[in-house]
Amino acid sequence: MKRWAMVIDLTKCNGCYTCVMACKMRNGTPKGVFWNRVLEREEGEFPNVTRTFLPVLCNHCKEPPCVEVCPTGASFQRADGIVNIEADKCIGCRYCTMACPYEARVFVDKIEPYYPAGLTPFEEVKYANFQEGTVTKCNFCVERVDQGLDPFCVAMCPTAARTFGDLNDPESAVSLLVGRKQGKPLLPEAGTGPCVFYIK
Amino acid sequence: MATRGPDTWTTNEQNFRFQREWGGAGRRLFIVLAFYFGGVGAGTYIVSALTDFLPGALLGIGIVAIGKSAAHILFLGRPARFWRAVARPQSSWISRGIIFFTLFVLSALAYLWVSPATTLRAILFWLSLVSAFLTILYSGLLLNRTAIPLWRQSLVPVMFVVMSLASGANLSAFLGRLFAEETVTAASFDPLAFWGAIIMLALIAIFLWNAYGADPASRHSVRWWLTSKEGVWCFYGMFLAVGLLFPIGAHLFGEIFPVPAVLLLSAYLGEAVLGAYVFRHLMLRGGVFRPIM
Repeated sequence: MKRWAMVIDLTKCNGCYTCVMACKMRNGTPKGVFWNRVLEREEGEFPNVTRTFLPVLCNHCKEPPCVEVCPTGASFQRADGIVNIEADKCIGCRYCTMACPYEARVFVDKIEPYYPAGLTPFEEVKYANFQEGTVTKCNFCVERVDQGLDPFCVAMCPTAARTFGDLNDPESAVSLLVGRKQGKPLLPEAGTGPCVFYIK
Repeated sequence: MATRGPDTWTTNEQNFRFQREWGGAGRRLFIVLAFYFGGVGAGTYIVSALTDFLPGALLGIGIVAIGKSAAHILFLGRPARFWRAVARPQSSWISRGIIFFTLFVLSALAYLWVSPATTLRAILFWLSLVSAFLTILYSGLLLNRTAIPLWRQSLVPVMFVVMSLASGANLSAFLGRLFAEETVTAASFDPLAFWGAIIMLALIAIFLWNAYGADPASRHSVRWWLTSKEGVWCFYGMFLAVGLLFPIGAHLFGEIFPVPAVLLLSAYLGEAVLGAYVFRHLMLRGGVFRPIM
């Protein structure tokens, strides 16, 4: 059985936000909703200052607390490890957003246009996939994955900082990166078994 | 250190982020009300049922049946789908909680309706008490299962139980004195209300001490409780002074001098309404996630 995972090489990430915009373009998330985010941090004191970027998304944990706490079964995990949400079942209680240590889930309160003139044709098409009053999150571009393609953020990353693959295959690129370059997940102490790893 | 992102990703300089989905602005406040109504209603029922105080028992059932249910439904992003929330009691505390408080309302109503001195009535009595207790307890356990370090403190469910029973005793005492003057029943709530407030005072001190030393995120929550503008106003002003110290003081004063009824009634309401509500408000609003970066 496959176990999808992602490795993000922070030594290659230059904070260009292409992943954020690629995700927006592909999934057409509503205004204010980002499945991919880039956190930034400045460290040190002038003139010895460094700036680091941390792209974050749903970690598709092995033991996802969001799935466990969901009272309706709207949040579920596929056999290949991808955690997804069935919007028709979501009641908008937001227990999952409280349970996720990565703050990867977003509550869609209102679906509003980005521009005052109303919804653009792009928004009209894309926003049809979202429901007001429900929670949404990254799904590793599950339709693309099912077609044998990489998630769009992986495909679009200009520095090839992101690698996607099967963690259960010891010969896959993600397994090799995690093993050889010692990829580490975020907040391992949360005990959720995240499947997004970072190389520093 | 400062972080920023493309959306409303607001962080403070320490990189901590407060949760704002439960207990934030607008409709998000209904979850605080739901926790409050559940605790106060079930607490009032337990205290009143154990002392055969019918007005209190009825009020407790009403608060849970109407107040808690309505607040939960109004909080939901999709209120029309509320019935789906019972689908996963095997793992979700929300599902379990709904089952508990539904069972409580039904068994408590049946208990009051069934004619006295039958085995069925005895069974219903204990069933209603147990389900009322579980209605109180589950809110704390529900918070325990989140990613917010402050809410994961083991004292949280205990505090929910003590606060609910104390506020239940205060509300019952208020009702007792309001409608029946100095009845035996009304006076019998006083010790529970007094000791409930004393125990809560001790628990809150231990809780804050533990939370401060447990984790940087829960330490940040404690700082918010104790030093932020909203926290100071809510914690010292409403929770500590009006919710706990005023009732304790009024009780102690009443042991020595005759206390005006209005002072006693205010003390009861101060704990049962303001103190109990603000306790939940503080707990939810003070929730901080562990920094990701």
